[in-house]
Amino acid sequence: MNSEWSKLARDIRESFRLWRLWVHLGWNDVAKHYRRSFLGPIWITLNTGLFVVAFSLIGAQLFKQDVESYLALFATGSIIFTFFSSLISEGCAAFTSSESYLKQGAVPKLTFVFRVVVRNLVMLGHNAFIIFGALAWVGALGAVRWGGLLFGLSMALAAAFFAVAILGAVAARYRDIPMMVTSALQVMFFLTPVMWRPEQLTERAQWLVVLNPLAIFLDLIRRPLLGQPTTQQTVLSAVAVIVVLAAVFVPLYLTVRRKIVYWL
Amino acid sequence: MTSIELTGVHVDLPVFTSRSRGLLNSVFRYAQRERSRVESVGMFSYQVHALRGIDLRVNDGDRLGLVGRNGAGKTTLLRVLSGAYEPTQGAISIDGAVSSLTDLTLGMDLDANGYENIAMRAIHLRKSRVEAQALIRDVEAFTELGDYLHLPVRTYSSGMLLRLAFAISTAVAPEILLMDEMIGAGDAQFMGKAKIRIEALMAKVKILVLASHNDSIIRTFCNRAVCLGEGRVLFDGEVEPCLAYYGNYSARNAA
Repeated sequence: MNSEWSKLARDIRESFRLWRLWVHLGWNDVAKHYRRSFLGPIWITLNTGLFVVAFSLIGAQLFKQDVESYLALFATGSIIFTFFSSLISEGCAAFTSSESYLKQGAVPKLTFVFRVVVRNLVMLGHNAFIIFGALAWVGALGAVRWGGLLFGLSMALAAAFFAVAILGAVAARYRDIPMMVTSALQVMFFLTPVMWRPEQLTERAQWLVVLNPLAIFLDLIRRPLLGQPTTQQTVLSAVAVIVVLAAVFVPLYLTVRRKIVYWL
Repeated sequence: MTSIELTGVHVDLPVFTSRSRGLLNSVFRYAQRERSRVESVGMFSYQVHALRGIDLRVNDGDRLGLVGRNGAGKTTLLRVLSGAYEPTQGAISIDGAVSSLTDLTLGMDLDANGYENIAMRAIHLRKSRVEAQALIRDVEAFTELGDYLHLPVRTYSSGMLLRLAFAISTAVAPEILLMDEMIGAGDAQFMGKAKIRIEALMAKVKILVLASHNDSIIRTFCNRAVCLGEGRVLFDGEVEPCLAYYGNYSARNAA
């Protein structure tokens, strides 16, 4: 048992030391996708931008809100949600898509968890232009609370690391997981306050936002963007989610870390 | 001191199927327990006892040849030696930097150009920028690909791609080199060059482990040989006696 602890600690240490590899791999994953197109990764920004603007125009009418505040709400909500959902769905393939590396030699496993996180951060970086563009458009850019934003993002990244590590390992063993996760995420898009405001829910339905981890982290990042203070309740919930994920991660990796390669 | 030591190493590989073999089959596993290398586990999976108690010590200077029939456990053993597979049971200690020449095109991106692919591998090998420059010059000189290195690798002929992959993979000498079959690359003229390069690399490393089905390759490059069969070490010693043992063993088991 003791040696499994030290092996896990070594894996984490070595993975950090290999930062150049996972930064490069994560970056290259995005670059590869757009290699032969002229606009390249700008397509990421364009695609999302088009979707955000189009839906905001409709959504503002559907939910009877003024376009400007709805645009700010939906731009931040949909882009942050996309960040979460692609982290989670790509997390399932963290190890299965890196099979050749893992079978060739002793690479620390968590390298490939970091790869997924970096890849999605790069995507988020491209989409961030839309968030800030939309906020500038409605004149709310000055109100952004940068400290709170950085805090929210770091909390989300900590949770993402554990979530990707857990899903990557479990999905390497049970190949139905990626499909389950994909359909769950589609439902979550509606159950998370992406295109509606938490206040619009009735008292009885508030648990949807209180217990939904995606809603918790969305709130943690979105509030500072919209110039609102972070609430203590959200911070505590986020810490609780991270603790739970860590409590799953540690025993899971103590038992299955070395078996992951067997499953590929 | 570069060395590898395996004590009582077992590797049990699970093989999962999506189709149930039915309850009867699962019950039958009790009847055949311990005898077969492939064991049924539950309704949906098998367990392959790929390695069953390997004790092996490889020392500095050893040129170890691995022989054995298909499925004897050679590739699994190489994966254990490389550190990719951690043993299910038993212990392994590896002292030295290991590199395996099993997948030459590892991490290559077909849409990236030759230089980007060299840089990619340099990062994977944890080379500094200065060392990466040296690697690039070495590969440039060896492959003779010239301006093609600026083009996406996807546009290369298969021979050119192999030349690049071969050059990148053989540019850096580790302390322990693992090979699954002898590798070579290219047309007749290039093959000679490749042969010189790989042989120089093999001579430079402290420990070489080479799995091959070709007796003369084992004779040429190895000073010690191990015969694997059914996941166990059947013979460990000098090359000639080992090949003789293996010849007998194959003949016996073919019948």
